[in-house]
Amino acid sequence: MENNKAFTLTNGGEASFLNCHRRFLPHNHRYRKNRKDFFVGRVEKDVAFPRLSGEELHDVVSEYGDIVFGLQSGKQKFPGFGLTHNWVKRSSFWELLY
Amino acid sequence: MHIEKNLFENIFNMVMDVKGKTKDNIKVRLDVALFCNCKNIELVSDASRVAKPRASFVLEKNAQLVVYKWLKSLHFPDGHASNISRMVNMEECRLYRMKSHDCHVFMQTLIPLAFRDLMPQGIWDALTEISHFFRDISSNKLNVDHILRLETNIVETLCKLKMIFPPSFFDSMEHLPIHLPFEAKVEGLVQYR
Repeated sequence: MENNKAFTLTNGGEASFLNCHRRFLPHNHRYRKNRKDFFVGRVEKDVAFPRLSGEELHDVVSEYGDIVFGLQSGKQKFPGFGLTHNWVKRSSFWELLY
Repeated sequence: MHIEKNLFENIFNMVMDVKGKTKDNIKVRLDVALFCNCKNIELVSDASRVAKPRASFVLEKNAQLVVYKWLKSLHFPDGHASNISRMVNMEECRLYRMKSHDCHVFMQTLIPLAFRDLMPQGIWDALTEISHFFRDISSNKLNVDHILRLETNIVETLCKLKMIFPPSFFDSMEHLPIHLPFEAKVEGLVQYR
């Protein structure tokens, strides 16, 4: 989430992912150099962020600890939510033995 | 499943210009002036009034009626999809009570047929490509070479959609098809997930 290029539209006020697809193209694709039809006058030079493997993902998720379930569970948030990450909870599937 | 449904609803509401559902409104046209270079769909302002020109992807009213009449007369094999002709509301020019499976059938088989010859060729090509992508990714036989080909093609298809539709069309659901081939590679066929 922290690595994507979504932004909020100025007038519509909604999130737009319009600039997120071009970085998945091969690096010599002609759409990457197209300044006219895509995001105003910009050339895309970024490459797609590599997918996290299972272990890397586990390291990221296990940093944030557990959520205590109960009446207050909806109000708990991990520190830095919305600023550096968007993790809401750690899935209970990580606790399976296999 | 719901990526396909949401994408279909967005495309259909944009193309048929459904009142209240389309994302092609005046605020978006203001954003087009900021973020895109599409001179033909920007707002045109006179001294006294502001006009919103019809975008190239929106069907004309007559063409919309042709599509709805065709849907009204449509018959499917037993058990293929629910009766789509009952979902058409000709007075309000929109579809009601579409379940996600109906959207799935419409997306994969009907989009290329419904809009053929009614819209410019380039736009029809892009819509057909996205329709074929979903048909391929949810077919009952898949091999890895084909998935890799889908993975490179879907990026180009989304870029083509980017050149057609205004920025508000691209919410997070329009971005997710990029990751579907990877999911198919890891988890296998869609019917066994």
